[in-house]
Amino acid sequence: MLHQQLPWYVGGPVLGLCVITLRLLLNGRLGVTGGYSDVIENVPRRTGSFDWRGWFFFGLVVGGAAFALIAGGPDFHGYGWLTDTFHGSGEIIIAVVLLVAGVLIGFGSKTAGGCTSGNGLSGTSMLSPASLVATATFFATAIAVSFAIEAVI
Amino acid sequence: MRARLAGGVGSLMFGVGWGVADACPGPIATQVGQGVLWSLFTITGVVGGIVLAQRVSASAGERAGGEHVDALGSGRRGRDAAAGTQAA
Repeated sequence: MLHQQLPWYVGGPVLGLCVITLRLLLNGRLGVTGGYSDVIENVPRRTGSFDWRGWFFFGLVVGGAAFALIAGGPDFHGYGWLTDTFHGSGEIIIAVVLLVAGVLIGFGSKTAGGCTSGNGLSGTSMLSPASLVATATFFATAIAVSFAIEAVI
Repeated sequence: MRARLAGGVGSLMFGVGWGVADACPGPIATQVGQGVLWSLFTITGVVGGIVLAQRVSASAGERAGGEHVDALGSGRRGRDAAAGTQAA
């Protein structure tokens, strides 16, 4: 079953309102990478004393699960171009590619000071020059890589 | 200047990873929640990458700190970071 996407004019404003609400309530900068970092820092200590960023991360996971339940069960079908390209014994390649891509995403966004949410949503809405440059860079790179993959595959 | 360069390189790396995996950190977390099994590989990589970045910036801080360098501690970090790269 293919899940339908929310239209942009619903999803976009909802995301924007999340950024504004977090700023108003906690004076926080909504960023998913910060959520990962908070969980990574607190799990080894076994304290469970996550700040809002860690709970925000768990909220994303729970939100995904809630969506899957409402939409009629988990959707195990495919992972974009990777599962379209590699089948059978070639599936080990998907695992390796995803692990390496994941490391690039994690290392890169942490080094860049935020990902699509921290730099892209929150930073640009504060007109932070560093966030504008970072967002332009990773968006342009991701678009170029997507087109390159499409051209080669 | 160095921080700006690092930010640029980080943005490039993030862009490449995003283009390849078709997802950025937020959607990866929701994919895990949705039960998309392939996303477990992606999120493992993301966590490894963030840990690696934290170690790199911590050891850079120790180098800059000069006299506060703990030789044993930074050595252990270095080995852990190398192990992380191999595992990736």
